[in-house]
Amino acid sequence: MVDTGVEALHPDLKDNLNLDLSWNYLNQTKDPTPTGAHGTSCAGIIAARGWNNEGVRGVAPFTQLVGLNPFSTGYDNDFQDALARPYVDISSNSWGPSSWSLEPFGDLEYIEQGIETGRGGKGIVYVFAAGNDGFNANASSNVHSSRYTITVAAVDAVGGKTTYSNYGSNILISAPGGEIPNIMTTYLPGSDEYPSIKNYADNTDGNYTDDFDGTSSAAPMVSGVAALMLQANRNLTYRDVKYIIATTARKTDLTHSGWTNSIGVTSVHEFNPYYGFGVINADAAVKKAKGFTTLSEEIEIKTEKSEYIALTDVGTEAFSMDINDSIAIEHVDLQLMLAHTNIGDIEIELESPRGTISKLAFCRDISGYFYCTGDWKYYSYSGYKFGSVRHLDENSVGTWKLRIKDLRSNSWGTLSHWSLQIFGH
Amino acid sequence: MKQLGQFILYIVILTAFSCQLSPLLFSQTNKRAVGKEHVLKLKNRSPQIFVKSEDSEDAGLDSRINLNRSASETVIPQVYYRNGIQSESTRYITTGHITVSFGKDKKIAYKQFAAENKLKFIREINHLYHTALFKVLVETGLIQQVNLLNQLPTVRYAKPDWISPRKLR
Repeated sequence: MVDTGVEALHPDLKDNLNLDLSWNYLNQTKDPTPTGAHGTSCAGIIAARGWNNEGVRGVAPFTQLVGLNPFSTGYDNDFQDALARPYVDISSNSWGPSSWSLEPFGDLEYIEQGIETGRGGKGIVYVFAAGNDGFNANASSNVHSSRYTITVAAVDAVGGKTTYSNYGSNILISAPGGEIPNIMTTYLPGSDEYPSIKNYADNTDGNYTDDFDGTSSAAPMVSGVAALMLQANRNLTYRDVKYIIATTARKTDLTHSGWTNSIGVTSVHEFNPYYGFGVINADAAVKKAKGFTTLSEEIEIKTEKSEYIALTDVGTEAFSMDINDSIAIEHVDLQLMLAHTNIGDIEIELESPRGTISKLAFCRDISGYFYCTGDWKYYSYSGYKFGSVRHLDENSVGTWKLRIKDLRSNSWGTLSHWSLQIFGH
Repeated sequence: MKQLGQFILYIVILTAFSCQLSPLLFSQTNKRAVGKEHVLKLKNRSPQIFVKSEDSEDAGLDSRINLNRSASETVIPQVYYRNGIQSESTRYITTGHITVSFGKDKKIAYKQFAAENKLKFIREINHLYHTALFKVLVETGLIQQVNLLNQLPTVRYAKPDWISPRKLR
């Protein structure tokens, strides 16, 4: 739990909380008890102890929790330390940047360390909440668009679209995030961030809440399922875990228009930017994890092009790149050197040889309203790496098409370089 | 000829893009930070403008942050606003530390490096990229020192160890 901390004496958490491995960055002790409730609530969703006659049961009720509370200081190096702790199997992160700054924190290379050296080289499983801004999760941070992480969107109580969840081609999976009713989980007594349960006679100590929501609650559900998968098969790599979660997802909100992409094109796996490959399916994921043959070694195909192209004001520029190497795709990264006077005016999409489309940058909502206003004109996509999971299991061979659409007048831009990295097996 | 035209247009756009970072052109919808402007020059990245705040509310924030560390590590934090926009999401606070990365397969004597650059070695924070945390010992200003370190050929990158704007989700 990389968060605000976990209450060490909570009756539903204390038996699963490993104090030897936990760390409190504020007082430099092994007691991760926080001053805020958020981490305690996330921890309960993952691993509130089961069958102990206490209030709730987590997704993985016999999983050891490690409480790390870098939010107590906010220091970059404390977050980075928390992300790279070598003995952690799964890193659950219900946080992100507080603005759409497109500014890499430098956190990604600590995650890379955890991927390369964690779990004896199998890689720590990194789970991140997509965020609650109703916005493009791909432009959130390079951590959320990375192939090393699982970015989780939220669905409401009946598996539908929430009013808040971020979305995009980097969403691997979705999970319940409240709305309405919200999530019942553990709580830090005395905290006033969101309500404790008021009307239950057996919650007089205020140890529980029924009002936790957001992608903050969706991400720990996926972390809990990942824990169950590793309990079923310790040999899974981080890539295996991602692959199994994606390929066992349950399609939800069946009539939602986001499930379609190009007319006449059939996806290998159905995908919806609001839900990823669907809602997490714990039962199917654990069954598939047992005896899963690990994916073969990761292959990277990288190709790039330098060209100075002026982008048409209110128009679309199309580019293409041919790939001759054949792999089954797991993840695609697109990096542009793109100077533009207002990136709030542009949309970027990548079309695979199969014809499926990743929308990587967009600034309009479903009704066409432009919401990238104000500060947006001070930021740049140049050098930023967009990620997409939506081409999973497609073959890489063929022509990849990049389209940059300028949708509003009086802004100008130039593309000078673009690179495509395709990862798979 | 077409290529020349495109090149000229590219220069014009780059210039316009640079100019838009000027605090003089900030959107009127955002509160403008009052203070001295600093340019952070990270390696292989566009320069970033930070305005060091003189706001009295930020001074109060400083004292609260000071409580977060033991007395031996206490520093006087400084509040900077990226692009000069004063908001929670653009606020970066110094911790008195700098992160320096040397890169894969480039082992370095951290203490010697620290001594040569008026720093105190605290600890290695990434063994893959040989990245370490250093305490700043000079009074010249943290961003200025980061800029100097980024000019060293042995340094992959140096950056302030901020309290960056993050939020729970």
